[in-house]
Amino acid sequence: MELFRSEEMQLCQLMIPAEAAHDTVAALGEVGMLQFKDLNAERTAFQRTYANEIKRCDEMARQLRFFTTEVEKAGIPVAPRLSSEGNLDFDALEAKLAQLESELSELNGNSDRLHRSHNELLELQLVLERASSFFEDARSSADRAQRETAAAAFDSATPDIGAPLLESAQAFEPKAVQLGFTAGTVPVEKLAPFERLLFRSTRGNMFLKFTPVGSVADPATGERQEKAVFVVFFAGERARQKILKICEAFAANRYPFPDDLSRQRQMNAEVNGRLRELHTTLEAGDRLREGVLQAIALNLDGWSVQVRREKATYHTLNKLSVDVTRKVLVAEAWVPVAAKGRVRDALRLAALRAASVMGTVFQPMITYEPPPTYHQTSKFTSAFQGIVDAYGIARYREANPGVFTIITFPFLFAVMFGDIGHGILMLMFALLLVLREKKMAKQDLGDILGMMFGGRYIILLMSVFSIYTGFVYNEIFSVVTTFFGRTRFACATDGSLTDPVAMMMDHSLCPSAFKTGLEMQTTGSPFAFGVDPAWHGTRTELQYLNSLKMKMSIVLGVVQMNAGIILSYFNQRYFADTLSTLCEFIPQMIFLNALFGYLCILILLKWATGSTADLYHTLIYMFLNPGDVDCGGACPENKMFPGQAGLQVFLLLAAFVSVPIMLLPKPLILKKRHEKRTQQSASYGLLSPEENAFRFQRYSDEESVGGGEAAAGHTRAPAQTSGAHAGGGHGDGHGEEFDFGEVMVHQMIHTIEFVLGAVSNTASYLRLWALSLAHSQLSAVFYDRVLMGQIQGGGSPFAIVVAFYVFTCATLGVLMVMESLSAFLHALRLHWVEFQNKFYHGDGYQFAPFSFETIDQEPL
Amino acid sequence: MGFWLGTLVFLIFEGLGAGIVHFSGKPRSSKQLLHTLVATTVICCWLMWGLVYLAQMYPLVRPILQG
Repeated sequence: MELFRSEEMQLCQLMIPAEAAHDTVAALGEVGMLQFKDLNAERTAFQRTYANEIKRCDEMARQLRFFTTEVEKAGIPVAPRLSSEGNLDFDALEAKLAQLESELSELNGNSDRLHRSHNELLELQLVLERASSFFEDARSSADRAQRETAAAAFDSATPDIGAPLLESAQAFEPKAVQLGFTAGTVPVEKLAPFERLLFRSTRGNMFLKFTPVGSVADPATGERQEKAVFVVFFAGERARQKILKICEAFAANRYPFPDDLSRQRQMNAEVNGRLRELHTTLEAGDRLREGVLQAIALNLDGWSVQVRREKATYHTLNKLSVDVTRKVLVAEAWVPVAAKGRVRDALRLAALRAASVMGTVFQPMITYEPPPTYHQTSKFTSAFQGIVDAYGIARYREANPGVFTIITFPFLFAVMFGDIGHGILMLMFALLLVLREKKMAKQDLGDILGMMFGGRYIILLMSVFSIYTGFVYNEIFSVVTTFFGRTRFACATDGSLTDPVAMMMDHSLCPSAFKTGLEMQTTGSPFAFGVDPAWHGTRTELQYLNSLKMKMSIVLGVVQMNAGIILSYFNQRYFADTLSTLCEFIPQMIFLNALFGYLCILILLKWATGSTADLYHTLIYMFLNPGDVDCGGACPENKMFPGQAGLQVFLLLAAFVSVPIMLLPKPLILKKRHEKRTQQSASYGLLSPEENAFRFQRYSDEESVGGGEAAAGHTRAPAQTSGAHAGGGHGDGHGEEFDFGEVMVHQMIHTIEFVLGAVSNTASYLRLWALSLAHSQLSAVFYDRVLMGQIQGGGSPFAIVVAFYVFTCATLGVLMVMESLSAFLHALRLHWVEFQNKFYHGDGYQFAPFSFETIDQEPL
Repeated sequence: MGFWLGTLVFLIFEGLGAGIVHFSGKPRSSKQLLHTLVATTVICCWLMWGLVYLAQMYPLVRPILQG
């Protein structure tokens, strides 16, 4: 059956002529069905044959990444891959990329330089404008002050007594003390510390004038910054030196500023002229650069695919071992047996194309390593297989729980999420994803939606099953339905009265309905499908449904656990492990069914006969007081069928006997077998060829493996797996060691786990009941209290609208998102733990073929 | 009686599903997978229905109206 067991694998050896090696491996990448083994594991990446080529690929990848960022920065759309792959060979592509890179970086450098001088000129222009306005302002205010003092001197008709003393002061003429100054721009946020430091370092002998000019591109970094134009006046050479240093420290750009007004004007004009010139140059440069980038964008995708493939090809070539003569490369690869034909065809074609004298030799090898696990999944099954793989990759050819998970997972989810309305909402969402899958597959959906899109078929099945269980629970948004006919309950005194609403309206119609309850009219022939609508909203609804759902959960759980144990039998039969069948499968079946299988039968019996037996009591006293069902006559209702006491004693004994059978015989028999084998090998000295062949066969094909020689199934395999991972080369695991203590402990753990697990796993299935109870109660609260509370309570239309809004939000947010998530997780747990621990080893490793298809998806 | 009738309905569904898969013209190995899926579905649905049906045959508790 498809998917039930992983694909058959074979380790094959390929001997590829050195001159055709690259093309051959590339052709195999096109096929994508070979997982190459690393035959040079002991060598570092630098010691390998093709280390140099990989370095070149890395360099090309770096160049392509550079182009990608440049193209993205320029906002040019990258053309989808053209079908013109391979129009450039490796060396030509490398040369082309290198040339394009130097061209582009030169263009970038030029444009950077031009941009810098452009920004510098802009700042200079600003400085010239602002600083000259400082001087003009100062000059005009100085003139005014002078005029005012002169006028004041004339006004003083009566000379002041102190006038002569102040004469010298009045007569003071601003001597032409040569004040130095420097002008420039500084970022606004640095202005305050800048001024403080200037003041301190010159001890106040300076004067700073500044004005903010808004956002300006900084010449050094090219980023826009809030800047201010400043002019510092100072006296003396030492102050100048200090100020220059401070300017440098604060990244203040200084600009020459002539004292002379005419020279200022001249400079201004010069700057304007140069700016215009630069502008045209810049534009021309940008156009040129855009042209180059557009040409690159056209081919970028194709090139990056080619480089990725080249790199992967050389990585694969590095895994091959080189023959001493350097004429032949030897590869070892795992191939699915079914794909061998395609591989052969590809090899033949590649040999033809390379026109090499001899073709590639392709032959199977004998190995002791466990092969990789490869499940061929479709778009429908892959998400379900993902659920199983997330727990552990199946051991090679072991039974795959994924097959059953496809149905049981959504089913158990739906048991917890049963509601027609919620199911329909989820179905609409799932259909949205499924029907638009072609369109959505191409989009980048983000984390959460992407995950839901990946699991769209899971959601689809979950919703369909939810609708089904919703019909069984008879609930649509927690409202009862009557799709399957009228209720089977009626008033005890008046058989024609079945409508609970009428009885609620008029209590006198049927008073007994409120005391002893409604009576079932047709005992033994209940509501045809699902829960009878009469239960909805009654006082005893919870009591009744809890009992029902609890028992249902137990039965479903025991059925699923039995299915798991039966799958372990399929594995044992497939691997010809009769010993495990006898010492594990059979006692396990007996143990589980003697206790919990019997409980299920009692449950069904109680339901089908209407017995009032107390099953808790029965089961507990089956242990405490075997052979006594009816409490010594005190509780006769507990005896459900004749011979029950004897049967219970027998079942109990069977369960107790099966525990030591699970524990002891298998390790002892394994030990005896091992001793026999060591005796044999001691007498022969070498490993017998039959054994060799047998071991090979176990990991190869054919359902009918020689049944007699059943070697240890899973006690030996872990050692092999670890050996395979560590060793790499074939031939590990010849002289396996048998550690009786280890095997015994393993078996003990296995037994204890099973015996305790039988109890705890059965109890664990009660989560089905708990979650389904929580779901129906939550939806009932939202419907009854929020929505109907307002409508029935005679709320205003506005209040009803608000209540409806709250109801919708709660339904979507709490029930559809949180509740479904929790039901999903619980269903996941039931599969991973309760179901899979009965048979699933999950210690295999995934088949990871060298395939261009997957390599194209990876980032560069 | 009703229980066996219902079981028969589920058996008919199983037969229908198996027939559709059988005449679907898929390769043999995927037919086997689909048969398993159909059978698992029918078994799950039948279990659920059957348990609820059985549980209601002789109810020990009566629905008592609130009020």
